[in-house]
Amino acid sequence: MAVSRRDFIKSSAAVAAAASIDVSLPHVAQGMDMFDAEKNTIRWDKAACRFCGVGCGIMVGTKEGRIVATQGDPKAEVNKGINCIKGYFLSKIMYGKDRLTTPLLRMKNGKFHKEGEFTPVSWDVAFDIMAEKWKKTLKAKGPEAIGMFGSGQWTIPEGYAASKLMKAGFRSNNLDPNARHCMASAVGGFMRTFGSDEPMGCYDDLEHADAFVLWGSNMAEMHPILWTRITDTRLSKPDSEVHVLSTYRHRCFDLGDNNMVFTPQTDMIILNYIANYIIEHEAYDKTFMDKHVHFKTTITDIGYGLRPDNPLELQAKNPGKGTMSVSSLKEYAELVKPYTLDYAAKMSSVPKAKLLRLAKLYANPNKKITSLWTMGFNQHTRGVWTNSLMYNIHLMMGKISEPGNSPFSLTGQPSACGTAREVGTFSHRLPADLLVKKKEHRDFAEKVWKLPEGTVPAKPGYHAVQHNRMLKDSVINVYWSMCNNNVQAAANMNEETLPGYRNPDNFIVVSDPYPTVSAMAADLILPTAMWVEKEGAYGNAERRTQAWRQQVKAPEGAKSDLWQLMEFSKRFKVREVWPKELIAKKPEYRNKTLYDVLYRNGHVDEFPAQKITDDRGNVYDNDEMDHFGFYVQKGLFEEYRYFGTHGPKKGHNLASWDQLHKERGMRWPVVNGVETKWRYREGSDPFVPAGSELYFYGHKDGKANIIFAPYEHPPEMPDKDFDMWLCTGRVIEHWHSGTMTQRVPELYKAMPDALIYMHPKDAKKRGFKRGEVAKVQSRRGEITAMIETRGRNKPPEGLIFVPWFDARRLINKVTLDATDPLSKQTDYKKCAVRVVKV
Amino acid sequence: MSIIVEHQESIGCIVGAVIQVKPNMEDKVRLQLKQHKQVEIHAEDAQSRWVITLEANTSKKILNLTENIQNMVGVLSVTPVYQHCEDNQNNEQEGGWKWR
Repeated sequence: MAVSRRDFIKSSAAVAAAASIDVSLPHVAQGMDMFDAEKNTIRWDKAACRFCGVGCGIMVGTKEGRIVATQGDPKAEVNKGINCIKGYFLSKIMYGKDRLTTPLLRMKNGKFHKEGEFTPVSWDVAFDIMAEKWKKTLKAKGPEAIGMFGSGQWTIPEGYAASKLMKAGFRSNNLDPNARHCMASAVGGFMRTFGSDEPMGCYDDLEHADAFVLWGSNMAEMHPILWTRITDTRLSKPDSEVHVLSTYRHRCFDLGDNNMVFTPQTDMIILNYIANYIIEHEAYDKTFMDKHVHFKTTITDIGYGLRPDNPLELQAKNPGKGTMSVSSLKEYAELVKPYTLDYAAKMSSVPKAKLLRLAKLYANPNKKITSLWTMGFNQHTRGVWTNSLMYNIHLMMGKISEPGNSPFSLTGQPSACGTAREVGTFSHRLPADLLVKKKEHRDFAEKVWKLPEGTVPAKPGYHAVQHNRMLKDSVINVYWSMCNNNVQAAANMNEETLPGYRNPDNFIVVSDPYPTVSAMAADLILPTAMWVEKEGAYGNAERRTQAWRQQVKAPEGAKSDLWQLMEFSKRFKVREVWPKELIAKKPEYRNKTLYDVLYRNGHVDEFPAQKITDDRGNVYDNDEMDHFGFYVQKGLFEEYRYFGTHGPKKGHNLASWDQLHKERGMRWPVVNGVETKWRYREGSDPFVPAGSELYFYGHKDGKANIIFAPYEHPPEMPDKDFDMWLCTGRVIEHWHSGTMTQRVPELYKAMPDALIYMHPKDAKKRGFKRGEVAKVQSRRGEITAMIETRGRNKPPEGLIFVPWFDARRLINKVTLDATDPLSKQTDYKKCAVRVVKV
Repeated sequence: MSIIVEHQESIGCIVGAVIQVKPNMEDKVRLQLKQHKQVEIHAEDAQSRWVITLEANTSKKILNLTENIQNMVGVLSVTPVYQHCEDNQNNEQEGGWKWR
């Protein structure tokens, strides 16, 4: 039987798709031996997807040094062989036409000039000018004038290397990741309720639950693979149900059994109403609460994280405060009492019957519920409170830390958990949940890093939103941004971000594979290797750490973030950076470079250069190992891992680098090579003492907090002048600011421009036709875009939705930089705007 | 044992995907899929999940096709599983987005 090459490939495509749902295709099986032959011309290896926080496993097919095919990894537990549309185009993100391959410095007359033209320079020249600016700043103003903006898209070794360079090398805590914009409120909620970051449950809950409730999450577009798993459960499990809450109608509503569109910010009211319902009907699990829970009440009227002279901050009684007082079930019952069904329905605009159905679902002890949320809760000026309000309900019912019962905080970035949160690249953190302000924690870090006592500063640095304000105010003067696009991503671009970047007192460096908006606003652009052009690892939303090998070489001239950080550290002698008193404690370090003391400390350089192979005998490059002469990624990871296995906070044990290369990722804590699916649960989590059934060991007494917080208004609401709500977000085709996906021609053409999604009645009232260009104005700025009244997102009257991927329509000129005062995370989901004719 | 027939023809793009069809909407979806010659249904399971392949000369056409299927009445999701795209082997890829 003659079979063409096309038939082989088609057969393999069909077989792979069939295998992902356990269906066999007998009629194509006869071609499989040739399918293997075809496959053999391509080298296949596993990797984690570059995009979102789901963390799908991808098989990467390489031929002659280029990636030619990708496949959902059938062995990956996360996605079981399937992809989403972004994953489908993964192989193309590295091949955009405008890939940067040389450092570009703004120059005039052969010298650096803030207003100069971008001019190609060598890496040496680039690092020379950077080092000069850094040294000058250190001398003039000290380490607090140095800042760095990192990323939940950094690999784990990169985030760890950056953290060491900033916190221990330059001795500045002004390092913050873009995860500040996406996960900081989630972290705050976890820390206050459980004393330990990241979810207790895992994706296995998606098959175990009887009901799913989406709170401010458009999973169908943002986490499509997990949504597919939910769809499977909903369609195959009798009596299962899906409830969807959002401020506008989106694709998830197609599957929803109980769809609710609520007025922005009233999610807090609905959550407290459910708590009230559970108490009034005495549906709670008293035994569980007695054993595992404390009651607390949070201090109120805490402001909006704006500049201190903002009238809203001046009005607030307790700006930025997070104090909690001890409370009781009785007191809690009184506090939630005003949140009646009538009040909740009136404030949220959700019909009573729908709210009641939702409350009854949570109050039903026989229903296993998984609640899911993302930016709807996190990008919220009361995000930390709201995260905890969600946990309150699960804790009252004892519906937590067991298969199917799971309050689950989804993440947006591939390594917001693994790199930003676990490595501790936040301005107040150190690895494995440690804090810079705690002496015991700093001591531990300094001991591991073989650095003198007092190296790591105790004062938390500036958070991300503050970075831009401090750049504008000339407090931070040298600034390095890696692996993100903050000019586009940060709110209030006109008034804070751009003035900060273009401030003549400042020198801004942006490392990126592509000329993003941020790169174009910088003074020096460094061309960067991406994804599988380097060895690395990511940590996803279910605590799964996944490693990959370098698959291809970066374009000539582009270098990984890791290479950049370590190479730059060679330019500084300890005596140029540290004060005399500190050097006196380790005088032998005086003439060494930061590279020597941070990365050649006997730990990081412990593993010699070696041949990287897989179990099939394929050989892989490791460009960083070749350059530095030791196995850099493994050395960094193994030193970092020590924080989890020996540090003061238990339960953060990671698998070894070698084991991670063999597995399809492992969920921490990993003890004796075994992963943990449900944290805090006896039998699943090795840190739970025998006989205690459940133990929230993030807190010393093993108890979690039920924290009452009231509804408080958002900082800005529609009024006479600005009569509509603006909500921003993502669309499926693009990931974040579009740096990668906008360069995939197919994705660009499918969704080229950001649109203004608007209710037809609102359009009619303002005299707009579908497709007409309109202006969106706020008190801070304006953009123009096309009106869409029939798109996939259907806002209610009074609200518009505008995605933020489009560099030519920067919606963040319009958004407000109000943050949650506790987490410092910006609320991108609500501000007041008007839509007017151009 | 079969024999591979070598051709110089360009393979273009071939995708294997799973689509989730809303139960009781199977006939409607089948009818809509029939409109596209480049789509082949290989299998259906009890849960209304279908194995399909898509073929096109360029990945742009594949994407349009995927979008079309995603927007069909009765289709809940389209999830690509396997993708082979030979246009990645071209050294220069047409860039969609440009700095302006």
